[in-house]
Amino acid sequence: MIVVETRAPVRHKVTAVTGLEAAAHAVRLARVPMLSGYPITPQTYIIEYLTGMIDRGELDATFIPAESEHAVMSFMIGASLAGSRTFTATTGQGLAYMYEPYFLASTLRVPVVMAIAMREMIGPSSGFPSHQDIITVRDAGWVQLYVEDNQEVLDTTIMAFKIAEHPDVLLPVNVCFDGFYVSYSTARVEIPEQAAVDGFLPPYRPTHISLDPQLGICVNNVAISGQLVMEYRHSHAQGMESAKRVINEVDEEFGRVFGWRYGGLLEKYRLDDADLVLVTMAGICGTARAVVDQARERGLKLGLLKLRSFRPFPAAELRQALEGKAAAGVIDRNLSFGWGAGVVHTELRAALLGAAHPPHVVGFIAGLGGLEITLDQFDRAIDVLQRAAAGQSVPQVTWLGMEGGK
Amino acid sequence: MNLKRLPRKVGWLLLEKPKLEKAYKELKDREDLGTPGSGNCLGCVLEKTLRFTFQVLGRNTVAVFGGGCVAIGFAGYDRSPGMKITTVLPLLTHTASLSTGIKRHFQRTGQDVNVVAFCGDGSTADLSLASVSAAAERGENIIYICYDNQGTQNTGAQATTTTTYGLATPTAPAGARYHGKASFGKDMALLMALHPGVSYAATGSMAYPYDYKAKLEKALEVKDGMVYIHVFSPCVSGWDTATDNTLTISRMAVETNLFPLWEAEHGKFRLTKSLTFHKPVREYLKLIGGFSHLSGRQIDELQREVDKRMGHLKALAAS
Amino acid sequence: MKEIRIHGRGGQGAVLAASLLALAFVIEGKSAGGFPHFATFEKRYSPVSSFVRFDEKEIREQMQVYSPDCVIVLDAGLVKAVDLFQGLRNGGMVVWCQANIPEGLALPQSASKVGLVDAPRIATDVLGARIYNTIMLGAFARTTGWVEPKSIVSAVRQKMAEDLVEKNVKAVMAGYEGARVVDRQEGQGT
Repeated sequence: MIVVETRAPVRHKVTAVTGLEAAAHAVRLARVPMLSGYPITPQTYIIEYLTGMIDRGELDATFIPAESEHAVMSFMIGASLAGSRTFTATTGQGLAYMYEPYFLASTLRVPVVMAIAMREMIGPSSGFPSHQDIITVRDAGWVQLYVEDNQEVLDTTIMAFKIAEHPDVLLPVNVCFDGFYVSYSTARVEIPEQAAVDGFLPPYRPTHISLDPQLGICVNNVAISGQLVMEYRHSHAQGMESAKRVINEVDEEFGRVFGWRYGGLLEKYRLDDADLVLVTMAGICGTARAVVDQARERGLKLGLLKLRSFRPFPAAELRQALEGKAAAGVIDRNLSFGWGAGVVHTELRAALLGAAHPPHVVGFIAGLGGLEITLDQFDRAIDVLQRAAAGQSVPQVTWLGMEGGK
Repeated sequence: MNLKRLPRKVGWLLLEKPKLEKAYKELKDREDLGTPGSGNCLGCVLEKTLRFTFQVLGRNTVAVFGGGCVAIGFAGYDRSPGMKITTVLPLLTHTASLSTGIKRHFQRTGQDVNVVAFCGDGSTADLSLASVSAAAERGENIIYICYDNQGTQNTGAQATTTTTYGLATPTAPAGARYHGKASFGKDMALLMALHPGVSYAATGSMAYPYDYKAKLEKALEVKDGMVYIHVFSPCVSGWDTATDNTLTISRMAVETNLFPLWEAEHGKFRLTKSLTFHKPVREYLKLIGGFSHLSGRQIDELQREVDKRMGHLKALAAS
Repeated sequence: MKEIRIHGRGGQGAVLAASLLALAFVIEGKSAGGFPHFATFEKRYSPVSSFVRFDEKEIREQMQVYSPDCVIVLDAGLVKAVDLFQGLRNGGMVVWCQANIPEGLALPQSASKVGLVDAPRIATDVLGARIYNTIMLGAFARTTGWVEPKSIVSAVRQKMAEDLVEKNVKAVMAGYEGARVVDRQEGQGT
């Protein structure tokens, strides 16, 4: 969180809520009229938060009870095509079951916002924290923002509608946060007043689609022509490219209105004078900040690069941020099978091609299946990073937390 | 004189033709909402069904076409739409739930627009059964029409769970070890009618357009729940039959009780085409190449199943 | 930073208690987090646990609690099923839901103070139900002195359903006032 001076600061109500409750408050403040959800740990409680708000008259919305995540995303596509702002949430197997309409949502350019309480993919039957679920669908055309704590869930969900509905973007957006650690955990959250959010986020008025029966258009008709599909994909890629600019702009505007912002595509924490850099996403950044502070006390010039936008992938911004650093260690709470490395690690390496003075990049696989990423594991990662910076031979990928076993 | 005993042709002229003509005459001034041409096979009854259906339902309609033959036939290719009304082509797996999302938006914003799902049996009875059943249980106010051609005909006529027992398909061909479809096929219309959220369920056939038309008109009146109509749709290529034969087959399916015509309003069943005498099922099988391999034993088994189901239906209608 | 573990059974409100306590700390301007045990598949009356941590400065680490400074026990019967005091830090505290320490309860050497409260009696008198979570939060405030009871009361008012608020406000105060704190500096049970 980066504090911003504002002329007329927005009044916030200070409270403590779970990550999912924070998302529900964002939905309420964004006046989302069409909602659905299907229970799956650790996302389940979003349903009772939303129906509770509707029941108490705090939110004027329709919640469609669903028989599956597949149906949930299908409701969202239908309602969004017809003109509704829409929100839902899922995780893990639910996301996997939703994959078919998930892809359709992005390729039909419907600006659905979906929270992801990230968890491990089965098997063995783990439902505990990991980023494997959402990382696996990275090429399905959604904007994917990774956030760290409950406050950022609330703020980013509000921003997500503005990004998704931006005429230059028109893409669905995932707000991804760690299952349990954030989704089920109660923490301090400041909830802005409705008027401020109304000023920041205007109502959704689609201009790119209409289901007016008189129009006689066909949505998603049979594409015999490869040319047509090429045009769709090119336009989609341009929307993704525009999203880089829009994510930064929306973040800055958010800061001006609400008094803090998050850095847009990425956040640099004590990075400017750092020699060694930790690169990671979502909740791991919280522990990493504490680790950076401790290392600084020991005189070690360690910094943190928090990747907020994974899709679009801010390759140029990462290249610039890491220019001239001695070594960068990427902590991935996911695994790209066949690479033997984490996805952020492999993509960062691709992004650094062409850099004048790229850092030595090493990767760490950590925290799969909810295994806690402890301070000891960070110490070990820093040790590898220091040796890499000193030009010593180190493995490209180190698995943290299973040294004893392997 | 007992009209039912008249020779077939005479009976048809006296009893059916006037009703049929009346139905078409009533639609004379109604706009055909399909665009010219169709991407379906020669002789396919689907084109007739589709044009007729939307002529009755009218312009104030958003159509959701499940993938398959209807998509190929009328969703439109590339930049040319296949219908004069707005159409959405969903995935095979979610026609009912996508339609739900659209209808819920119209309901919230106070727009009285018909949302009509028009979808084949592979999608309805198999791939999206959970979606259709859940929408029915919730009583979503959509008109769901399943055209049942008893197979995934668009991919080459593989069997679905509505395919009639014994039909030769690539899934179970007629040969030394396979003897066509080994199971009897589910009664999807009855299954749907038993959902409490379905305010109106019916079967329909283009051999009886006046009957189908009356059912579509009832469907338009329903505002408090889901409508499910299951329409018989013989497949020229998949079933192996002549291109001028599909309406005859449709008629024979009704006359043999293989595809009885009925409706259920809020669970109250009624046979809309009541037969004093029904023909044996083998009369129907004779018209279709895909059944030519059937043994006498198989025909007997199918007849027993047809009789059993008709018994159930009559019991429901009598209750 | 101080860490707290709450033991209860499914339906006794251990998870809600963690959430209320976290909010109470936030109301006092502290940084705090409350969360259920991740691997708990909560079933009615099965053993469950939840955690709270708080600090004067911002808490950024996302980790579970392994070495609590205080253990709150909502159900005395759990002693047979769960290692209630596992990892309790030296100088740690225990808040126990009975008027006296039951005979045979092996309190660890690390426990320096025990807060005792007759939760069953208060629950009967005030709540009319055998749910001790808010009573125990009052007793926790008395035992540890880490939070003002009025902050817990504010949290109850914010988070609990309207029809439950007044009873539970009374329960918090009754727990606070009814708690007896036993010093175990000598490492001896009383």
